[in-house]
Amino acid sequence: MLEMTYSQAINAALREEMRRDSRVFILGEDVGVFGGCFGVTAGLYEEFGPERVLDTPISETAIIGSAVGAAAAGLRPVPEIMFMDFMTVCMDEFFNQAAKMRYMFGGKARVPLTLRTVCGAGLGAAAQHSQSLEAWFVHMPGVKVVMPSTPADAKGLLAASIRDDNPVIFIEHKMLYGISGPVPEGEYTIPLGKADIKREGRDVTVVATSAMVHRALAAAETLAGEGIEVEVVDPRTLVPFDKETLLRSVEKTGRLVIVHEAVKTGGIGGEIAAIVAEEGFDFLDAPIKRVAAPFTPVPFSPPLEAAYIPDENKIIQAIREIV
Amino acid sequence: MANIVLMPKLGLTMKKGRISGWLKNEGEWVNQGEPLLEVMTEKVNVKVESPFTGILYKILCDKGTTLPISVPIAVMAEEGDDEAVLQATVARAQADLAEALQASAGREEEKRKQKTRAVKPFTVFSGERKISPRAARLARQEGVDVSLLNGSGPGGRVVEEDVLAYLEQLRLHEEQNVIPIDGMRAVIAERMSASRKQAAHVTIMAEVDVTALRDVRNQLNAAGEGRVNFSYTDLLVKFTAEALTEYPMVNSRSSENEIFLPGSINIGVAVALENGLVVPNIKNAHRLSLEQISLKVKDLANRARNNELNPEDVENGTFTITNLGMFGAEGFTPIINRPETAILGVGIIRTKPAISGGKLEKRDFMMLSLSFDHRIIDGSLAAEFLSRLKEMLEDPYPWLQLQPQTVEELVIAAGGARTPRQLRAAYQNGIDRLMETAPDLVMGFSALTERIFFDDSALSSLHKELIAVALAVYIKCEYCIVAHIYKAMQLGATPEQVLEAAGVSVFFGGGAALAHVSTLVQESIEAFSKH
Repeated sequence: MLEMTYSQAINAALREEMRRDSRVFILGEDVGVFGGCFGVTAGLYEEFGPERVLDTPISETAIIGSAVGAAAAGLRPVPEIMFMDFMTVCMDEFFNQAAKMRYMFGGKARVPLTLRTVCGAGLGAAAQHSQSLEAWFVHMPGVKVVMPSTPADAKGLLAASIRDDNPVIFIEHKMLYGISGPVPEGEYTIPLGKADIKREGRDVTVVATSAMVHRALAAAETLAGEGIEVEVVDPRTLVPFDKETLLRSVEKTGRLVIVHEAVKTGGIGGEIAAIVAEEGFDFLDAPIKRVAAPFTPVPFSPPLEAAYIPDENKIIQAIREIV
Repeated sequence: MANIVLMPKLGLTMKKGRISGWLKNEGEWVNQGEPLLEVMTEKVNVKVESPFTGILYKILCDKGTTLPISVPIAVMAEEGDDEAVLQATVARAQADLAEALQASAGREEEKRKQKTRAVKPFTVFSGERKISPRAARLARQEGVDVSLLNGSGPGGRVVEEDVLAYLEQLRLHEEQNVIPIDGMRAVIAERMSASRKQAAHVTIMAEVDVTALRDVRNQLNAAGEGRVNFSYTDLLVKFTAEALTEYPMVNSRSSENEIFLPGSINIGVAVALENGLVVPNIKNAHRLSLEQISLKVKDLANRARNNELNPEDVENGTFTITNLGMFGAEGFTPIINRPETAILGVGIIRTKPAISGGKLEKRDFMMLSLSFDHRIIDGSLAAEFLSRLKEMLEDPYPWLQLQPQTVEELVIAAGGARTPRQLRAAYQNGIDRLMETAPDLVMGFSALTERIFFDDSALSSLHKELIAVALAVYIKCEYCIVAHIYKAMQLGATPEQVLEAAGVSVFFGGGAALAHVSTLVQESIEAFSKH
């Protein structure tokens, strides 16, 4: 095992995939010479040159539009949208073109495109640079949605995404880039659609995504001191979703808390709750709880932003209400 | 396709069940999920849902049979089933049943286990209860009655842990062959021991010659031609209510610091159930005819056995009668049904030789046991009450005929007596009826009033009527009370004057029940004002 940051793990996956397959190339704003806004693509330009690491103009439409064309023509583009908030600009390219093409051409066209983007609040980047919009893409048939929470998951899932023949949106969290963790040596992939139990417990299941996995783990650690054993499930990919692991966990614990950073209204938590209500109703010993951001734009003020993001205490409180 | 209905397993520990009744008849259409039959397990009577939709073609096991679980108990047909196929299914089910019963009789446990089929899940009906889906599923699987469970979850919700705890408790109890004290049993246990601890129980007994009462009962039942069948309990309720009107203290309820004298006489009758007892009471028993009492007693007992009593049926009792005579008890020391202050225990009726009128005769005797709270009721008062009741029971004729009627009926007898002449006729009718049944009463009243009405010319008519009201209250003749109040008010008496006249007598008479008479007086005044 190597000790690596989340950012380094993503960089390693990109490098390995580009070395492995010459059809893989990256493009985006400042991904080349500058090494990426968050430094994730550092050193790739030096190794692979301007033909495979393309600095683009500030036009998300052009980035995704050209990536869709390249993918349809047989390449495996890995475009980057610097902030997830900017996905609105290229929504038609992604939503109506990338996501639909394979279906509309009866499977003859493939779109092996991995769109890397960055979600999350915590940097004081305000309402237009801090959103978590994964639920939009979950609602979009034809796209796979990946949200890694650890360096090891990020590396294996990114490799799997790039090797997948379908459009994948790979959502990184800006506050996770600096965290480090053990990462297996060498090339490896983690299958899409396979949840991971980050901590085992018998009393309550907490499903958390992305950065919230770490807050859920912190809450679990605190509650373990009181004899409440929390099971933390990280779905890792929201589409395809690993229902089986979720339902098995809820069957074991009888209680479910869902944590995500996106606003609660219309969030992925509602979908997860609905899956359990539909298919695991008889497992439940208490109402399902959701811990998520309030239904408001992300505030700029640091204290308000801190209040906005779900934290360990809110998770503990929700768990206490039903255990 | 013909379906075979099996005896359900309604609990973890259930091995056998008794069919306490079919809720559908052969030939009737039944939808899946509708209650099909009732099964009594060791602990509860459970309504079992039909596992299939179709016609209840054949019931294989009648009400009352006790059967092991998973044996065929009925065959259900679907629409368009061939008669021959159905017959064959019935034959097969009957053969299975016979075999299973034989196997169970022969203790061939192993063989029987092999024959056991999977039982469809049955729903246990229960009252409204907050329960988690997980706990509900487990309770359903294990046949646990949710109403018996504790709810330890948020807001009293029953959660899985509660069901598991209950099952564990059952398992332990089964091993030790102990029945949990819960539900009704817990209530009885708590109330009995609390009463024993709080009240200063004294029981006195009196042997009552009920030969005449038996004759009266026989006559009444013969006259009723089977329409009504009066029990001794009915008669006892009637006479006790009558006696209680004279002893309000025996009809009282009490708390730690206070004695309450209720405005009505609500006599509770203890009804034995399979797993306990309840004491519904007959409200205003002193104002009901024997027939009304009898119907009420039967209605309450039926509803008690079907678990259909309403809370008001068991609330606000003022006195309780418990009859163990039918089980052969002679005399006993009943525990007071607190907050009441006295209870009457009724023993068996025995025929004994006795000296009556200087001759040795065969006579019937019944032991009455009166337990009272000595904190509230003195021994002499209790003895007086019991002796009064004994007196009434030994000479029941006059009392039985004094059937109270509503004031309206009394005032407006014979098609609306509004004029003095009509009233006089109604009064006369009432007196005539009383003459036939209770001549002493009428003669006594006549003697009392004679001098007032005919000799003492110094008194005004109004004053004479008011005195008559007082005397009528004293002898407790309802016809007389109503008629004289009516006449006094026609002569210009104010309600206050009437109440005062009645009140004097209540005080003077000492024993007459204040509540009963004042109600009657009040109603009479109101009836007069209305007409």
